[in-house]
Amino acid sequence: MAIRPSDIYAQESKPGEYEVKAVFLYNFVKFVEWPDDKDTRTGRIVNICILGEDPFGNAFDFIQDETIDNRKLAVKRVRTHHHIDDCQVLFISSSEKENITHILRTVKGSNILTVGDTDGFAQKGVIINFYIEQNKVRFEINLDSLRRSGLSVSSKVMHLAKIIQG
Amino acid sequence: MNLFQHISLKQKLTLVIMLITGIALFFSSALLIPYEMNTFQRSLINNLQVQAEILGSNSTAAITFKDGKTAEEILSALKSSPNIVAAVMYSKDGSVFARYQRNDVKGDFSGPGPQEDSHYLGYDHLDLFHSITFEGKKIGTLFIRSDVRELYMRLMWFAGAIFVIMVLSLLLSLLLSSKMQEAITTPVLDLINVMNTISRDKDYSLRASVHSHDEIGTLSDGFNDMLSQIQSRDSELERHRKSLERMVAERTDDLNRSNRQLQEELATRKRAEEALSLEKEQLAVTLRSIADGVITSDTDGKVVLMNSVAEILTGWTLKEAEGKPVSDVFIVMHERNREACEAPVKEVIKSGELVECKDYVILTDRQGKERIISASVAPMSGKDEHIIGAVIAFQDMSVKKQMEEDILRAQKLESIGVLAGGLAHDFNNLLTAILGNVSLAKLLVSPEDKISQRLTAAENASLRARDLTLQLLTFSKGGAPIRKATSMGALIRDSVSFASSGSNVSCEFAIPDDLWVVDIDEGQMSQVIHNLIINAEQAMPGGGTITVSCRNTTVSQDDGLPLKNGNYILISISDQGQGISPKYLPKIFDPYFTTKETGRGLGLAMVYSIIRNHEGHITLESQIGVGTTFKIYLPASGSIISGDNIAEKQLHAARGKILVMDDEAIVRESMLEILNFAGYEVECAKEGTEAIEAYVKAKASDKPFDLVIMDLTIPGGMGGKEAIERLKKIDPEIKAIVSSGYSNDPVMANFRAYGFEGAVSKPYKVAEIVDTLYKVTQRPDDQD
Repeated sequence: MAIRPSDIYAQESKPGEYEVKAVFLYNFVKFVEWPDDKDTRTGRIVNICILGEDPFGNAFDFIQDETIDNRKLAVKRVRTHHHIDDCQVLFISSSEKENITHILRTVKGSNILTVGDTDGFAQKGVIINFYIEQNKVRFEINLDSLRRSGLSVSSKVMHLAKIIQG
Repeated sequence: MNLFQHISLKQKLTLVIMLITGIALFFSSALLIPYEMNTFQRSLINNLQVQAEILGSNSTAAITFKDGKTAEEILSALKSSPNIVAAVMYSKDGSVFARYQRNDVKGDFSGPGPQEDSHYLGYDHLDLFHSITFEGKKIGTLFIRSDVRELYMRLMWFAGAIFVIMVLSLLLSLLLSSKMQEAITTPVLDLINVMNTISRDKDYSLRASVHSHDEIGTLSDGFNDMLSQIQSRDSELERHRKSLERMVAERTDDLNRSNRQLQEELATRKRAEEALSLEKEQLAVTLRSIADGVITSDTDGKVVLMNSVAEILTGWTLKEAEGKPVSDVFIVMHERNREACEAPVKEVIKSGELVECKDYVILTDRQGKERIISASVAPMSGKDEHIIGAVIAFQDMSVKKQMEEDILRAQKLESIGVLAGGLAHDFNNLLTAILGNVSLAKLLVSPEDKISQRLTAAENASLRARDLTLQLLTFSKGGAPIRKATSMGALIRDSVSFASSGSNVSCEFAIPDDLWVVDIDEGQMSQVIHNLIINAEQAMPGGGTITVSCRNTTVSQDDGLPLKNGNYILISISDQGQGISPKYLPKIFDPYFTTKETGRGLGLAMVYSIIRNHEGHITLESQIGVGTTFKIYLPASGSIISGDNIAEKQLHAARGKILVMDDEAIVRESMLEILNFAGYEVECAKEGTEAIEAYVKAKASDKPFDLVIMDLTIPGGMGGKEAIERLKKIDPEIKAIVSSGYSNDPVMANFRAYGFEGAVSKPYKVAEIVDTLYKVTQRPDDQD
């Protein structure tokens, strides 16, 4: 089932957890600026990569027709953290809990927005981590990791997030 | 502007200045306020728009990530603007995403729902809609409501400021004007002062001081000039005045003289007017009291005056008729041919001679009612013999005409009656002989004989002839009725039912029980009713209803009936027949006048005669196609009804000696035969003297007369009336019967009062005379 972001609010039946998370991932692209944006601004594809077991199913189907600032979006499943060079956004599945330290070491200094949905990921250095509060999908941001990544996130989004230091 | 007329020049100036200042200030503020309010309103909207812009932009992430809580936190920044009442953020689908409301707003404020970017200024609030866009897409709508207290507050402040400025400005202008006006008012007041002094002291040598060289200065100069002129004119006037006084004294004398003359003239005129109004009053009273109608006209033939009788007869009031042509009000036509005619007003005015209408004319009043009148037109002349109009005098002749007609008819019928009576009397004597002889002849032959049948036929014919002469006699003088007090009710019912039996008409009666008793001859009155009923029946060959009604009535002179005043009963007999043509009405009671093929024309003549002999009156009303009503008036009697004694009629075997007195030999002979036949012994006498002699002679003998039969009138000899008076003196016990062809003679009707025991009308049948003789000779007082 394809769900468009514009439909989400209109949907009477509550969308599934991962459908919401998929839309959030898409929205993050809008609020995040990559430091060297020459790749992304020239009309190239923004890759949203999923590392580990893919929990999203068809939730990303809507993305095919969407563009952000004339950039097309694409979703890629990556087997290992060695294949993440062309990823702008990296979703680290909870299946990679054991390898998180390795993965983060690989990502370090590569302008990739790391996103997770596993308890404790933010403390470990993932930039944005989803959590559930009162049946709602919310997210926390690790400010140090963000600063290190060289990305800038709109203060408006910062406002919505739980801030994690260190 | 009346206000300005009564205030001083000083006040006027102040008022004008104040008014101008006030109006100028008022209009400038009046223009300023809306401009200021508009500007402020715009800045209010701008502020709100800026606020909405900031809030919207800050909320994009919250909306994108559906974080309503954060969005509300952002909206709560509005707390710093106390004039914001509420704000609502709608998501793209129109649902409320976040809201803010001031502490004093109760409940959850949801706003009017999302709309396009716009703003509305309401009575007490300002609404603003603002779209929230992100990345070029609309993601929601922000609605903000602000109150406009500040706007009104500012308005109040502004109005207050203007008021203060106006008060201060007006005070200032009052101060300034009261100082500056002195330049104008001082010279004017000075001028007024001088003027007042002059008019008070009459000192024309005073002069006004000149303060300035403006218009007021010119005024003062002119005033001074005028004073100089007045001064010089005054002295001239004084000269003229003295000469004028002389002239006035002379004129006054003249005036007094003519005034006296005028007063004398006035007194004379007043006396003349009084005399005239008295004359007028007398004329009005005269006119009112005249029993005739009076209409006066002017020379143009227009109505001037009418008295009340004229008003009644014409149906016009004086007010309505005044000024109308006489011919419009007094509408007349000839009685003979109903041709319209006119009162000869114009001719009378021209000729100056009185015109009296020879015949009666018919006056049609305003309601169309017609009256027969007699009229005359006379000229009216003023003091100088000059004709000033005409007077029409007229009289209602309807009643008089009716009476005249009645009298005429009575006279005519009376003269016919004299002729018929004389004829009938002679005829009667002849019939007596014929009938007597025929009756006797019948006795001489056997009833089976053919001669007897012929004789019976002759006798019947003679009897019919006798009836005829009787009718003629009844008509001619009526035959004095043999009266007794009778109730008409029973008589009418009997007569009517007898007359109408076997015919196809029905009779209705309306006869009250308390109907007065009348003194009548029952036989004659039955004949009257009988005739009238027959008449009514014949008027209705197709059948119908005859209504007979009676009532008591009192006749007075005003009723216009040829009757003495007194109580009467009125009998009305109405049919529903074809009516009687008006041209036959005057002749209807004439003998031998008939419209029927079979009638002899004696019925109504007899009726008329009988009623007249009863001192009554008969009249009729008839309308073609509706019917005819006969009305009979009979005088009421004072007496009461006596019991009726009906004589039994039998042929009796008789005995006795009778003296017959009659001038006619033929009568004497037949009487002799008849009475002999009846068994009487008979002697005859030609007249009274002879009869008395015979009676005295027989009384002295042993065979006196038992009865005397005397003719009432003996030409050239003593009649029955005188003879019985003398015989009564000789023998008070004498029994006598009067016989006459004049059955209408009072002696016949009241025979007892003259000393007779009975009366027989000539001619008579044997049975009739024998019956009377028997009754008289068998009277109870004779049976001892």
